[in-house]
Amino acid sequence: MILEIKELTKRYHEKSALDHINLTLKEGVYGLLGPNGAGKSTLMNILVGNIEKTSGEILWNGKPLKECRAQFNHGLGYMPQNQPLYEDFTGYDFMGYFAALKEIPRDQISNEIERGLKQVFLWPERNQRIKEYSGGMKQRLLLAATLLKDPEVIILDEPTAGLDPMQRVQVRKILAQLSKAKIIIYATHVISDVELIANEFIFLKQGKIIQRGTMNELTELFPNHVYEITCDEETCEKLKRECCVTRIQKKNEGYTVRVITKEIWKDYKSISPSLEDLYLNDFEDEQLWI
Amino acid sequence: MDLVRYEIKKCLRHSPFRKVVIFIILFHCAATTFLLFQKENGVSWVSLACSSDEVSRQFYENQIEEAKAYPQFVEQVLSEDDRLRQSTLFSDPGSYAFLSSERKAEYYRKLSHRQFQLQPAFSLSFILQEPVSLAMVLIFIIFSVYSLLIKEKEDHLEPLLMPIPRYKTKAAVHKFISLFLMGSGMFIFLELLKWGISLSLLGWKCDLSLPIQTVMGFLYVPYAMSAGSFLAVYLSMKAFITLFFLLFISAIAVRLNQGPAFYLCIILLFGAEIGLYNKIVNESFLILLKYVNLAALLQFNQYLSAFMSVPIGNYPIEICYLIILTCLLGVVSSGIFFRYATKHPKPEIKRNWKLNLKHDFHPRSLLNYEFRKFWMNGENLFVFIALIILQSFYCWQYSPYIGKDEYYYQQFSFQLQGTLDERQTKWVANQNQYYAGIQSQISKLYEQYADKKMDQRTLEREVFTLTLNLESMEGFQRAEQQMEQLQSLGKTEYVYETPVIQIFKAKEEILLKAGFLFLAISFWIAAAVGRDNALQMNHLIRIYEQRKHKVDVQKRKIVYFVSGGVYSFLFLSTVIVKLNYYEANILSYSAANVLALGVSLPFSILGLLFILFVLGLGYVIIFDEVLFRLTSGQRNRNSALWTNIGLSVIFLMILGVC
Repeated sequence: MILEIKELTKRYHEKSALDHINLTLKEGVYGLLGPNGAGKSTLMNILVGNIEKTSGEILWNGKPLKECRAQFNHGLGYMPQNQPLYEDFTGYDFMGYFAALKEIPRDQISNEIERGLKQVFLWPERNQRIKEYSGGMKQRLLLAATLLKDPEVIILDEPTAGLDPMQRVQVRKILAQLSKAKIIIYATHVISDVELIANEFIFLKQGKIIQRGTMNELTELFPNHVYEITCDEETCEKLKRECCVTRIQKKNEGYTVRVITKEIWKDYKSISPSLEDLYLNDFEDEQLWI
Repeated sequence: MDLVRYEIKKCLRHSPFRKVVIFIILFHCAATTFLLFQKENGVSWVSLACSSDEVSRQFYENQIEEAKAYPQFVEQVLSEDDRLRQSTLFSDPGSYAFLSSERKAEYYRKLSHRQFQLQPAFSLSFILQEPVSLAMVLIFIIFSVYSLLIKEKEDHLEPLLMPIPRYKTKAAVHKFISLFLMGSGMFIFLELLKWGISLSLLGWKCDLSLPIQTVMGFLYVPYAMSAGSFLAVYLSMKAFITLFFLLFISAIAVRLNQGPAFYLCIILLFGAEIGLYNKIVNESFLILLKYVNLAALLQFNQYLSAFMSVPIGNYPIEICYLIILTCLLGVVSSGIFFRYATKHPKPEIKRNWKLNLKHDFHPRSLLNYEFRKFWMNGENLFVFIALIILQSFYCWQYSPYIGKDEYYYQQFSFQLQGTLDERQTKWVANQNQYYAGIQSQISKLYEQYADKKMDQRTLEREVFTLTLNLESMEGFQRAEQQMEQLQSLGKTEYVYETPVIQIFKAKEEILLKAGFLFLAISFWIAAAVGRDNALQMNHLIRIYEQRKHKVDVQKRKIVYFVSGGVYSFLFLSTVIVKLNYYEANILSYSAANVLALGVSLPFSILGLLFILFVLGLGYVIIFDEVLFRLTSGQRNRNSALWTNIGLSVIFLMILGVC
């Protein structure tokens, strides 16, 4: 199972939403990271077939996606962001509708729905109308519908938006279990959601891939640039003005400041960077409000 | 005023609103131009203004002659009213009839002995009679009210805005001021547009200081005022009616949360008002309702040009004053309601009509889910039920007036219907003999009276009794003629044709019912297509569909099924009710004879009905398909709805022409 993206470009008039993207995706979880407008949703929408690409090629198991779109979509699960649902359906009806859409054999539908609803802890509320569900319940229901029929390729756009911490952990567990024989593309702004489960991270900025690799590969590229310094208020203010400060903690002895620097500071001992540090470093110019 | 500016901006930035404004302006220009060029009895406004043909010249000369005879007209009105007031019917000086007649005379007395010379003020005459601009302003108000009062609720912006104190206390005032400014702007703009078009095509030859009676079409205006004053009154009334519509529609919108529900409410309200206006006859005790009515307000200019009054108790009130009174009361009551409703907002109730039935949790077919989605929208079910109730009421109430001659024609037709043979010929001969006998008896009576063998009272009594027996003769002659005509055409069977005419040739009724059905289909398709698009669920559906457009196919099936079912119900119930009413049982004798298909009568009649039924069904399905294709790309349900309604009008026009 291999999904290849070659020189994929999407233009809206003069503006490039995607600019010559090249990716090869095999089984595993891929964290798609980037600020708003980076091109994440455009990429996902092109993959699911909602919008047309301007140029480039997408290959599914070596065949152009255009030729095997039906086969590809047959094994696809897509969860869009902020998707409204049919408010007057019950949770069970909604799952039933998606099962009917995906043409799951009738004798398997009940089991599939039950498994899916239990997986997201909505089985007791299956008989309630969706309008009575909370935002988190709706999100879990949509995830359950996405996972119906055990898709090979799962594309998730902010799947944990609106979920409480316990539910986030649960979603992470579900996806970690599923990731063995599937391609999961997981777009999010919440780095902690994807940090623990993704095999590979793709950083998108203004329609271009600026970084790509596993956690180790990415942190190796970024040694001695992250420091944690204990300082007084004046120094803290100076650091905030001059460097990329990612965290400030007020302590009895002063302030502990986590700083990302462009140059290496020999006077301080560097610490190993987290994914968040990498993200903030890459998108520093877009995070000016920090 | 800063918020008013933003409220207006909200409307102007709303793309469908801008499209509606462009449509209104274009349609107004087109309709005004059409009316100027439209010929009625061979005369159009433009041909009249240019005196381009003989018919127009003749028409204008006739108008001038009519104006010359004005004093005689007034004298006639006054003397007739004097005469009427002396009759027994008008004997009570406190009665409505007496008071109304006096009031009318009072008006015309002011105008008696005056001579009016018609002036060629065609543009003013057209401006005062043109009906389009008020309707266009009304449509503009409906869309503005939707954009300002309902769209925010549809977009779920109220929870965000309501906690802001300024919004909570002042939003209604700002919105109303914005609506007022936009409504006034559109009103003035359309008026200027109309004036511009009519002045450029008809020319401005008008002396506003001359009496209004000198303007064509306003000769019989019962007020002694100049054309300028009349124009001012006309524009003031129009502005007042516009203000009433603005407040009235705002008051309706303030309690509704969804665009389609709002539009449906407006359509039903105007439909009911137009129905009421057309159905109430002048003799009805409900006459007041006929004019305290939105349909009457829309054509208020008709009531300025002649004396018409209705009773409030015994007191006669002129219709133009009644319209002002209606508007005044409407403005006050709508204003109070609007203020109250905006101060006490009603939160959107999440209705939950869940029945406590045991769920079996059996998965269902896609068609079943789509069917449930179709009815999930409350308006679809409402429109469906409303249509069924309307038709059931029609069937229950169906009772066209049958005159004496039609009744006898029916009775004789029942005697004559069947295969044409000796039986009918003998029967007709006997009947003719019967009438001849009566006529000869009457002649004898007159002879006896002439010979003084009978006095006049006896003669009158006897003749009256015998004449009663001749009452059926006209109906019989019609049946006889029908039989002779069939025989001369070589037909073999007699046809009682009235039920068939009632079924197949009732063009207005067919158009009315088709209009209702098309309106219902417009709602159904807008909901079926627009709902998924509005939820952006269509993208997900497209991804998961294993077969291309599987869901669309199911939706089509449902719309075909529901619209076809309703059409069948309308067709069959109408046919059965009419045939039953005219006692044309088992369709035994009907148009088949005319068609002469050479098969047995019941089969050929059923065949004819079946062909018509299938043609109608085909038309409905073509209509469904066109609407489906044209609205499938619409993201907004309201835009889809209005596209559908526009197409319905085109399909109705095609049906009307056919």
